[in-house]
Amino acid sequence: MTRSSPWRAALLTLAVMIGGIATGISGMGVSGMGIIQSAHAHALPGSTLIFQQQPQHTLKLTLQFPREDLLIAAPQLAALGDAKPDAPLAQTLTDQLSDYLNQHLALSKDGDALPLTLTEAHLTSTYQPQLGDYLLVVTQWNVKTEQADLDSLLLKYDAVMHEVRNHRAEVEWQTPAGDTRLLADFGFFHSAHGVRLDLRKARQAPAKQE
Amino acid sequence: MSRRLAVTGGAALAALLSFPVLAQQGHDGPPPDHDGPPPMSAEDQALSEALRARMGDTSTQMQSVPIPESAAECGDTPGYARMLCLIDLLKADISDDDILQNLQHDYSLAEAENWSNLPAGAFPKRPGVLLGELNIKQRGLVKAIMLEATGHAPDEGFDEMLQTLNADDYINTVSTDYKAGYSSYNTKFAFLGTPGETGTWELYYGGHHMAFANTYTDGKLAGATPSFRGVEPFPYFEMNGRVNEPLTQERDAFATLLSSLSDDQKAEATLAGTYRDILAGPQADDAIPESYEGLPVSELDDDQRALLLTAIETYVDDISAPEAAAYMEKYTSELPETYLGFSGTPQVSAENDYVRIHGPSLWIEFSLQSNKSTDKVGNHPHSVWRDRTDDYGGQSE
Repeated sequence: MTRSSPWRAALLTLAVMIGGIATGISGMGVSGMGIIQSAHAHALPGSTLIFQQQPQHTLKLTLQFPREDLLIAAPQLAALGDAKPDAPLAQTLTDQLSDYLNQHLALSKDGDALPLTLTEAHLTSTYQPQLGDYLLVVTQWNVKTEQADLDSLLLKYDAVMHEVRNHRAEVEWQTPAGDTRLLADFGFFHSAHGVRLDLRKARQAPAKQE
Repeated sequence: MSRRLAVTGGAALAALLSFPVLAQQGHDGPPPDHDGPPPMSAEDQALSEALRARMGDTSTQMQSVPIPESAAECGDTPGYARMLCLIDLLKADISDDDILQNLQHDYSLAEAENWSNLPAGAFPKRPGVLLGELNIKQRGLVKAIMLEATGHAPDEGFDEMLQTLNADDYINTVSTDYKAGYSSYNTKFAFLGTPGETGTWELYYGGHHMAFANTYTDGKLAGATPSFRGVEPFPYFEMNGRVNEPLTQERDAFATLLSSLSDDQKAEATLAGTYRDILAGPQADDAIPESYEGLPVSELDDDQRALLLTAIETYVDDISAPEAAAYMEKYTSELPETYLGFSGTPQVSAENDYVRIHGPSLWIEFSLQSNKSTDKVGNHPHSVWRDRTDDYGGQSE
């Protein structure tokens, strides 16, 4: 038996009650219309950035991350809390999301910034056994490049993780056959100076092991 | 005092129950209007099915497994030699080649990095033999081996690990999550590398909310980290004939330390950002920043420094006493270059509360997040002890 005493047990009981109440309060996300969302139990997945080669010197970038963590990092986007999955986002909301992401997402080649254009944004519902049901924010971007097959890029990305510090980003290259190859995996403290993406190696590498 | 607390606590509970919006919803299985979980990858699906097939006798929990009389052959002098002897006894007792193969792996850093906070079924890449695959005598030898490697203080070391196993037995009574099974037998045990007087090997013991990784080189402990602990329910529960409160000492030590800080010290110790989990968890070996953040320990007074060391001891005391003493000597000598940080409340009782100790070698994180598996309002901790100089025994490949 451990060294519990009735006095300590009472304290612990009170502590867990207080902790529970605090959880209820701090764990609630209050969205724009006052809808209360329960918090998830374990940390939600990080950001996923998937690059694909497109015709006409263009890369397609699909970026997704959990809505719940975004709303903590960017409370100005609270209206996203009312948006429904698998329906187009209102243009105003899309513009606000674009403004936010443009402050936290940049690509460059040899010091020259590459223009990024948000082409689509929506929410989608997903499920993981250890997390339950949650919503992802999914955005699609076009990246104009000057070369047909870039060999490398410098990625600067700290969306969500600038506030939710345990949030990480995984960057993948998707081949025309649909295989994915890992380009980078990093957290907040490695985001500051940018992450070099070796596209030439990714084009040649074997498929990522799940 | 306790009567007043009980009355206050009862009132708080009544208020909580009368305000149903605060009650968390369970997450057992997908919501009714959902198609269900996405399929696992083919590789993970195969691994998960293989794990389920391997689970064996679950009738006797580690809590009550006796150490077999044959352990006496290894003498009663604690230490590395006795541990090697117990390992030989265990291997000699296993006749199933498949089990032996799962128990004994070659050493590689990549294999050592396959640890997790998730239950075995949710992270099938853990190496090792499931405790459920071993017979009672063999589990008793595992217990004896672990007792050589771990601390013996109440609620620390192997006692803490037993309580974490008991937590999974508890969850198994209230949750239908993870069909692979929340249970104390669903924990992996392995030797990465061949235990001996020379060479490098790791004593691997990991399951839900637990990762123990003692790496030995040439007969000496080369590293005791990454060392992950978590538990749900928290802060205490009854299971397998005892009250269990693993990690409560860690939380109490941090809460006492943070409560001792002045307002100015608290302000300096407050970390920017929100921490919903630890940084240097599984598959995040690169997460420890080079720069320091928070309150320099050099600004603490003697009493506060003693409280800090008490908090550190709740981690280091998870390994055997002589080895723990060596770590404490190192961390104490590095206190002038060590920083204390926290986010959330200094009581360390609310969701997203987070505490960190960061030194030239030492990295400790304690994070509270809402409950998952028990359908009970409250939070549960994830916590890790890392040593930046000898994580994984300092191995690089």
